[in-house]
Amino acid sequence: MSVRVEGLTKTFGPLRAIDDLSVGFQTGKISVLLGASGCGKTTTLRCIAGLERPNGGSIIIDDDTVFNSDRGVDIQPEKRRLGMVFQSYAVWPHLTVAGNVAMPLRAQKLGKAEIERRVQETLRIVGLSDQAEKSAMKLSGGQQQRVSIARCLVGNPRLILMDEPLSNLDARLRVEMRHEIRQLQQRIGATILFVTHDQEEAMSLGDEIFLFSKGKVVQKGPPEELYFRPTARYVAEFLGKANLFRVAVRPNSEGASVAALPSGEIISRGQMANASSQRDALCMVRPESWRVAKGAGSGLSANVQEVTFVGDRRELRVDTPIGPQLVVTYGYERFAINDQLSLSIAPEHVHLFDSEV
Amino acid sequence: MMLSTSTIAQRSGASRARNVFAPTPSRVLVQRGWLTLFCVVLAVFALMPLVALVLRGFLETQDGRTVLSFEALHAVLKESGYWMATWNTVVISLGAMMLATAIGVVLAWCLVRTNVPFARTLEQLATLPIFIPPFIGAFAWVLIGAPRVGLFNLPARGLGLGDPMDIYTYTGIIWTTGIYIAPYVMMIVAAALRNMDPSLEEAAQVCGLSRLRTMLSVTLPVVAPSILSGAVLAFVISIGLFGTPVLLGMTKEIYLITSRIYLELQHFPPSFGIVAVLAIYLMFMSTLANILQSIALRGRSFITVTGKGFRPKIIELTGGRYVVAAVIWFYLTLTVIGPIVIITAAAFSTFTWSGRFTSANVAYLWQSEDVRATVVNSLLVTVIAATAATMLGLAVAWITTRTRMWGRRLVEHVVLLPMSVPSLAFALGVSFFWLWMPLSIYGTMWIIIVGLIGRYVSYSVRTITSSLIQIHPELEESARISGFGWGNTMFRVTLPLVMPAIISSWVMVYSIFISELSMVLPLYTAETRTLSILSFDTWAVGEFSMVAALSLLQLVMGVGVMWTVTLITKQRQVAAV
Repeated sequence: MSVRVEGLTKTFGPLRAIDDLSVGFQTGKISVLLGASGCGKTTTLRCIAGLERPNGGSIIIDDDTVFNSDRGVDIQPEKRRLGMVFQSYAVWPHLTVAGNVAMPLRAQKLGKAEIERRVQETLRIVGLSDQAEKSAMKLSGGQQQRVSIARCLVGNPRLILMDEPLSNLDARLRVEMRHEIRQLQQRIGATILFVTHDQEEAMSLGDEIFLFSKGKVVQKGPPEELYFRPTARYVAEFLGKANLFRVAVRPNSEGASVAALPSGEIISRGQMANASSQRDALCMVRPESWRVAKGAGSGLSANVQEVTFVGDRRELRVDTPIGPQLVVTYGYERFAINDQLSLSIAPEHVHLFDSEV
Repeated sequence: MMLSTSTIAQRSGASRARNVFAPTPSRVLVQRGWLTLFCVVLAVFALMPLVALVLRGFLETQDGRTVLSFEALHAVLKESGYWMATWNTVVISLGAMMLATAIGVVLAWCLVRTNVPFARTLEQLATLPIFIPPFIGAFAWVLIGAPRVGLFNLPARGLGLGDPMDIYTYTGIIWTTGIYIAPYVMMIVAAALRNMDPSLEEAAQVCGLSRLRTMLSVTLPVVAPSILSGAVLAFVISIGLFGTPVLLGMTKEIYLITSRIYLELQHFPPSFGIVAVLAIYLMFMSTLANILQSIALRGRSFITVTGKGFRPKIIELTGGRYVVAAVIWFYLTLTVIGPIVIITAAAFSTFTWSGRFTSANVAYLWQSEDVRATVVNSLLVTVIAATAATMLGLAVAWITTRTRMWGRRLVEHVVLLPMSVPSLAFALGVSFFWLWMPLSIYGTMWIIIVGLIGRYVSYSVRTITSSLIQIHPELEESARISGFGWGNTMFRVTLPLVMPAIISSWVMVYSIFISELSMVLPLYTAETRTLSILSFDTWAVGEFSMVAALSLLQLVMGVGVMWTVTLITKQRQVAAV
């Protein structure tokens, strides 16, 4: 673990922005801190940077304690050897592009030639070599973003923090920059903590996602795990769209557990361990997991209520005996309101988890 | 690896044992130290004079003991002259307020919302009366409208028609005060008109309201809070004015509270109790006006400053625009160009108005030992005070916008407190405070400097704060992350970015300090006379041509320096882009 946070707490007046958070982030990976606004993700990042002073807990970067409330350790941000990309880019308007990028090296008191060489090298990496002497104010949003990234890389930081760096870019540029950050990270093997509220950005960029809610991490893991195997209703609903309904879980004759709809129809086997007695569970089916057949069939009968055409797919809102469901279909098949459908599902696409207490 | 974790565990265990002593993290300790020091400095500069003033009004020393006493208050309440002065102050300030508001609103509307030619230039010219110190402005009107000697009255006298104009009247004082403070109202209302979303008016027109109805039922109510703010500011400035009522009111014994204070100070020994009570009157009146304003405005600030620049909808006047322009030019001639021309002419006259011209008065400025000494004093006081006020203002602005230190709001309030206290009252408080201090700067140049800083540091705080707010904190945070400490971040990022605000703040307080009269009056001694005091004394002995020459010198030192600095910095900014 390259970055470890233990028992971290930060309050703003009555608000607990971070609530006794203990979590570790891996070296050489992109860890995405995801959550709705006000969930504590940015505050966590700023505490790691040293820009906020936590009320309690400790922060350790590479076996180096940078904050510990018990021991009174609080390293100043400039001594933490980090790089950070801000939401507003924070490109200094009174300096040139090269001047901006040179600043971290000036802080390290390097020689002039060395600074010159490394600034050039870093500007080449982000593709701004020809803009070096331009005033930073005259750059477009995307170029400012690159300056900001170059400035963050140039000092060889042991950890890179990114606070919603893409949220001020337009949609097309955002996808492009996301791709570039990913490539850059793989090339130099940097450790990146990336804060975002955009779930698509989180899933496409992160090696590991940390989903925040109310100052705590609700679930962490690789994107696919969070998407397909959420451990709580909040996670299922935050990432993508989810159909959630109750099922009864009971042991069958072979000792494995089976999950059944209220109608008695079994839709999954062997997913939940220790189903020694019958109990309720929450079942999640992603809209794209339902298999759709027209007409009445052996599956769950459904009646189409609404059809939305979104280009690459159609989103159907259907009524079923277990409640309204969202179904996504791909391809050319058309649907009309009041069409009768039969829904079925592969058992491995069903995800069961304990319903909330 | 095992080893290192276990040592860490041991170390943290040991530290937990030491935790009994509860070490405070050093960062917090340092911050607290700074803040405490800061609060002491600010309290001495800005808060203590006000406290001293109130104490002085209600404390008497009897047999070496200090006792609570209402004697001074009683003396003031008993004397009808003080009641008259209070009445005059209220009447004249209300009159000046109404005049200034009327002029300010009409000017703002014409300049922002109509297609008057050269609106921008006219607007800049119309702010100029602020930079003509009240003493000099009033003096110009003495030269124009005084009975017997006033330039305007000369032709009529020649024809044996008597004096058609008399500036030494209520009307004269109200007029002179009103045109001096009108630009404040104009600037506030113009800003409100610019910040108003034009779609508010467009919606009214789409609903079928005529242009006049739209103006009366939409525009006016929306900017009403700003008009009220401008009016209250005009009132508060007006009650504290010193030069105008002294120059124009004393001849015919129209005394205001400020001129009464001046008279009391002329007595020997002066009754400081009475002076203090009169100064408290001024403080009370301006505080009351501010309180009434905030009650009236509660929940009514319609104009949300979004920082989004709206393009105001311009009303197209056809031929009318030239008429409006002519009226504005006439007004500017009367209030800006006229007085300056008159003072220049007087400075080159043998005596006013002899009709004969001489350069003797201006030449005297070079030769006189008095002028040289007071110019040196003025420059020293002004440059030191302006620099200190700007630096202190930067520090306060930085603390209130960039830190979450405990008590930063308090600091802000303390700094803004003297803003609504008339200069004369504040200066008296400064003198009382330093009379009580064991280590006193009383009688030195430093007491004037300290007084000016305390009274006007809020101007710097406001200017620099509004600039710091626009500079994203992330610009500074990224410098910290890049490896710069607090000091380096300040010098490499913060200061270069707020430099324009620092310069304009310095220039603003400089132009106030260089000709400040009422602030210096209770604090100077024979050795620390400033140029403004010299002109005032020269006026008192009646050498009008000499006063004109000195006023001209003050205008050059004030407005001249201001323009030069602004021009140079503007060119540098243009060059930098």
